[in-house]
Amino acid sequence: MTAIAPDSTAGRSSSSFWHAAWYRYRRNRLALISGAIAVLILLVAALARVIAPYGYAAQDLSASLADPSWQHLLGTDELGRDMLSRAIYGAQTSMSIAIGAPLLGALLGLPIGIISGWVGGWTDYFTLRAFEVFTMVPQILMALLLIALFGSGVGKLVLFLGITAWVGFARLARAQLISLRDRDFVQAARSLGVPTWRIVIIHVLPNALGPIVVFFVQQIPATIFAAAGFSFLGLGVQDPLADWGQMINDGEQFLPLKPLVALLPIFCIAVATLSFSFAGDGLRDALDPTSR
Amino acid sequence: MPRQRTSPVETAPAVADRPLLEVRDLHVSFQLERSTVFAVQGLDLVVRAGERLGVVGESGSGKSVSALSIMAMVPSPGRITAGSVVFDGQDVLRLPTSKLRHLRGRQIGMIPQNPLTSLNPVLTVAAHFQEVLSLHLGLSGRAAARRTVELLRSVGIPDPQSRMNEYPHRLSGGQRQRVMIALAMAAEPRLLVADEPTTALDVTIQAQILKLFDDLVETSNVAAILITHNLGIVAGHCDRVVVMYAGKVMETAGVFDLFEHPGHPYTLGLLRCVPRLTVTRSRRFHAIPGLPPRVTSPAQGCPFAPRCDRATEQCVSSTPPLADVSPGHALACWHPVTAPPEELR
Amino acid sequence: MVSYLVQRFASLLLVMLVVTMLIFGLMHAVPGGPFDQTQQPLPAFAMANIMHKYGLDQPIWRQYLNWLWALLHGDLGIPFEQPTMTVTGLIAKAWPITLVVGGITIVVAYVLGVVMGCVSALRHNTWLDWLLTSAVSTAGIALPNYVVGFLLIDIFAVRLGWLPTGGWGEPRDVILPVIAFALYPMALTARYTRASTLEVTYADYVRMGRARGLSERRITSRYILRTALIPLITIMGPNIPNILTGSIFIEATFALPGLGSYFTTASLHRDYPLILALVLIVAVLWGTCYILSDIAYTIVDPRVRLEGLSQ
Repeated sequence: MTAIAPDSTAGRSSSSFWHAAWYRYRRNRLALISGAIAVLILLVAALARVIAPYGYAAQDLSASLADPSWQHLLGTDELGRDMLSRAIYGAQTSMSIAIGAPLLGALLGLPIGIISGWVGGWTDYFTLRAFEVFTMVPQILMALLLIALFGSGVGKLVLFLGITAWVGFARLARAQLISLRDRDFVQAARSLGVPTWRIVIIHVLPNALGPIVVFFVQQIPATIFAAAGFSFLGLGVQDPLADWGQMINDGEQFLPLKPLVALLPIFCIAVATLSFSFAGDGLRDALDPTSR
Repeated sequence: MPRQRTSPVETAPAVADRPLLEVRDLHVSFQLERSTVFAVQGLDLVVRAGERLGVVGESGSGKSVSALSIMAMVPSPGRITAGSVVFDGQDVLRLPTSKLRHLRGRQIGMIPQNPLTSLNPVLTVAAHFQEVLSLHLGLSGRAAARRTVELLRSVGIPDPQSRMNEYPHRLSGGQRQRVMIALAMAAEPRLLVADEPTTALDVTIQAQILKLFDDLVETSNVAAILITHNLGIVAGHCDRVVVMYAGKVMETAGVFDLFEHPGHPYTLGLLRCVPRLTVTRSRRFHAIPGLPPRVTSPAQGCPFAPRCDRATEQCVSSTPPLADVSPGHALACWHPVTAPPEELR
Repeated sequence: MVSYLVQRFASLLLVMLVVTMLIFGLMHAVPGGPFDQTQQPLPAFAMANIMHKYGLDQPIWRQYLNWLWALLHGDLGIPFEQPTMTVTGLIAKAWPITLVVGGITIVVAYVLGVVMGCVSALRHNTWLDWLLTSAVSTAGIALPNYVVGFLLIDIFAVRLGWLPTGGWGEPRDVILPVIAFALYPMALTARYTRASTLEVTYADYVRMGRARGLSERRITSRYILRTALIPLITIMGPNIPNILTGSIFIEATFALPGLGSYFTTASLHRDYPLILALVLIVAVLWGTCYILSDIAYTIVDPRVRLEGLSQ
């Protein structure tokens, strides 16, 4: 018999739900502006090679630590590299990591959480223990250990920060699954003989997606911090690749004379973090107006 | 004494010279982001000592807001924009906070709609009583505990001594409502305001709670305002009735009068909607077409006009005043019903 | 309730063991060891000697069991980098520093955070609320704590010269690290407290309390705050072990010789005993805080009494 998925009275009709959410998001001016800035940063990051006036490694020792000028709109660092370009490439580096790592974490964690939440029983028990194992050692320490053991660089940062991020996604997915698994519309689908995979993908996931997307966006600032932190310690992105954290580290010694060298990357981090944070908040409020 | 036109006439044997509670021309509105909702427009109410007044209306009719206004507890963004509330000779709306706090609990007790969320989850039942008893009656320690047991017993809670040390989540909905009633009565108030006290309860429990309510009112001679959307409740448990719609009073009368000679088309409509078990021939469910409005402008005309089958030009353009049609029975309608149809008998 | 705790404890112990096994395995999975010095390559026999001395020539599972056995005797081993000391000794020297900074941070962050959140919520929609929420909370989450530290050092130590740039020797050394470290948790706490308090402010039972004539003060303390602060345990609890084991970034920025800095150097130098010991500390601390917050919850929230827990 063909599975006729009943119109879920408890689940939301996809298009109207997302429409309503978008409408709510739009009305929140802070979220709207933040979202726009976040998208802008992503665009800059993606188009770095096209936008940046200079390469990130292009040195010009004769123009070391220069003040802003028409040639170098935001000045240069101690090796004569153009600050504006480095900031732009820094965006590329930071965004690759900040988006890549949570993405990896999601790819790893979501299936685990979904399966564990759906199946329950011993699988769930062990999953919960796994959660505990990976929570006992904080993400940063774990990532540090991995970096120390296996080396660093953009790719490795994505890998390590991603692997250590799976727990958050898994936990969330599991919680969503558990709460939705027992809802009436799922019971109805099961009683009609709808195959499990179909129930999960067509009925459950769209409803669970909201909080997961919000969580994802909220992970971005944290990842920016972590990546910048490792670079700050010299354990992150390697020279001459530009990264905001590392730029701060480099610029530290020049603060008294040429504060811009350190302040520019600081400003970039702040803007990126705030825009994604507020956008995340806006998303959360838009997707579930009852949560304040 | 009896004033024509804008106030309902007092009914038969006056228990005391002056009414316990007099609400005159009350206006309450809610200032929202982009609009204003006029929740109550020109409410007049009188309650005498020992009297039970029923306030009937659909959701959004302004009945709950009226109840809160009596204790000056309208939550923001609501504000009382005009009118007066005089309780026992005092103008409630002008009282300083300290006197207001004395009024609340001590003179007027409130029974809320949702017993499940009306008790502080981190305080035991006894603690709730202790607060009230020590604040209003100066009781503490063992005296307070004794009184608590008495109160709980009077509302029918079995084994009060041990029950009182429980936390609210261990009590059922019906039990919690009894506790709310006991709390409202604890400081021996002169007026009880019950805001849909049985709406959130099972039907069987409803009957028990209402009976309890009646008994208490009778034994302690407290006056009561019973707010409900259920005409059946009003019929059995009130002396006088006020029918509200869209923030205005449509009709007010003694209970028997209202049921036997309903004058306002809205009241008639409400009565028709009550399903009956004992019918000799098949009857369809009656419903008043349309929905109650959300009043965002102090409109002209009768608010019920859009849904009334007797409405005329006049109804739409000018607001009918609340006027007496017989002693103790007032209506706000240009074309009141004079002879209710057969089916209502 | 006791049986529940015992169960929890046992399961956490097991998890801790797994964690140590995991870290152990991880470290040994990487080619090369702690003594691979490219600057001063050791002759083969010297290398063999050292490996033997530290038991590194034995199979992994054996090494692990050796370690576990020693652990049960209270012996955490000898750090490779400083063979004159014991791991225990090293930790005993470093941890107090982290604890002092961490302890003060917790107090500052949580107390201030809660106060700010409450004030914001109780003065909802006033300028104070606006100021606290937007300005302070925002400032707290905009920059990572080491960057804040960095800026603080620049302003207060370098330019103004009021405070030291780092290191650990006098009481004044705590001030800047604590400020930098506490900003984020404080902002987070303030935000959650505000949300929780706001939710409770409009609750039915608060309104009913008012309807019984209770004073605003009583309503605020017994009805609003008492219930609003409960969920904070779950928010604040998990952060405590993290703060008490130190931030590697803060300790690097302020040159604090605490646990965090040791973790960094130990990781980089493959100092197995030290790493394992540090991981163990973090795990134990976390497990303890987990159980403690469970208990705290049952004490504070009557709805969650464990005797009623029927698993």
